[in-house]
Amino acid sequence: MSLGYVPHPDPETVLADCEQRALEREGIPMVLALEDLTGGLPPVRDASALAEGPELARLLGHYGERLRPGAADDDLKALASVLTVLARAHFDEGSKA
Amino acid sequence: MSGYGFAQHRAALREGRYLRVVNYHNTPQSTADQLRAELAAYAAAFACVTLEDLDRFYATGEWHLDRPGFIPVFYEGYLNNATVAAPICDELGIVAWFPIITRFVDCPVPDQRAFAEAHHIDLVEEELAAERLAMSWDDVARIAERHVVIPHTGSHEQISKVVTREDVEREIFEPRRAVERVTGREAPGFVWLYGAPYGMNPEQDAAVREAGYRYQISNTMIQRIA
Repeated sequence: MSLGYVPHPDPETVLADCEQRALEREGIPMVLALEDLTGGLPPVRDASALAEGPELARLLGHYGERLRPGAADDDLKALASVLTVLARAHFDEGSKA
Repeated sequence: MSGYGFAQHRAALREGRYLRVVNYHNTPQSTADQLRAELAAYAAAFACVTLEDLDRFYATGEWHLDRPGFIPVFYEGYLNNATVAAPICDELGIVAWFPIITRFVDCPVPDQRAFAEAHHIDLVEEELAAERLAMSWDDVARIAERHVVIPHTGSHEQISKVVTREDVEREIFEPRRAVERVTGREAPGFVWLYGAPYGMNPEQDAAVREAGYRYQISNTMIQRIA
């Protein structure tokens, strides 16, 4: 069942706000991927993460196309920028998932 | 692990493999009230992820938490992390992670400002005149009783500059030994300056694994590497 997360209407302004933050003294929210290079992570069975994760994936795609349309898939700097927007706009929604 | 990027990150999210973190650096006394309010709000909404929680997730694919997880992360080993952030976390019952620059902690107090300026360690204006800038090893030991302490290199070095065996010893191996010696606990993870991920620099990657680290934390992911 979709949680119905709505994309922020003005991600450009969110990104600009993120870029203005004082990194040396402000808390910066992020949404990190969990990767396993040992081959031991079983499929995730956490209901909350499985409900919310597809919403966040969809939003990451949306913000990526909107904010960094020409970025290469492996442009980690672009990915980090887009993730700051995702986190800034949707961090707290996880508590309602 | 070449090719990591947008597509893999979307896949991780879709499959439920993700975690919220909040990255902090300086936490001067002037920000204590704001930090307390922020952390209290996070603690009400999310469950702090301990090392045991993270290990368990990687073992089972389940969080076993009553709320979505998150990790507050306090970088560098600033004294203000020990005197402001850690006590607030303790007061709120929050478990945080502290990646520390071990040679910053080692640095004699009169040299700490010069060390910071030479190693990309940002200082805040209200502390420029402070005598001590880095936490002490006693602070590290005390923090480790309730929180997770991991090395953030020996001297805040970027991955491309850690080349020789001496570099590897100074930036990767000795920091782990130092943290474990002082805390009596495992230092399970490692973070490069600028958050480089595992998988793009074979020699440094091999050194990180050889040192015994199990996790590498980067700008965009947490990787279990062993």
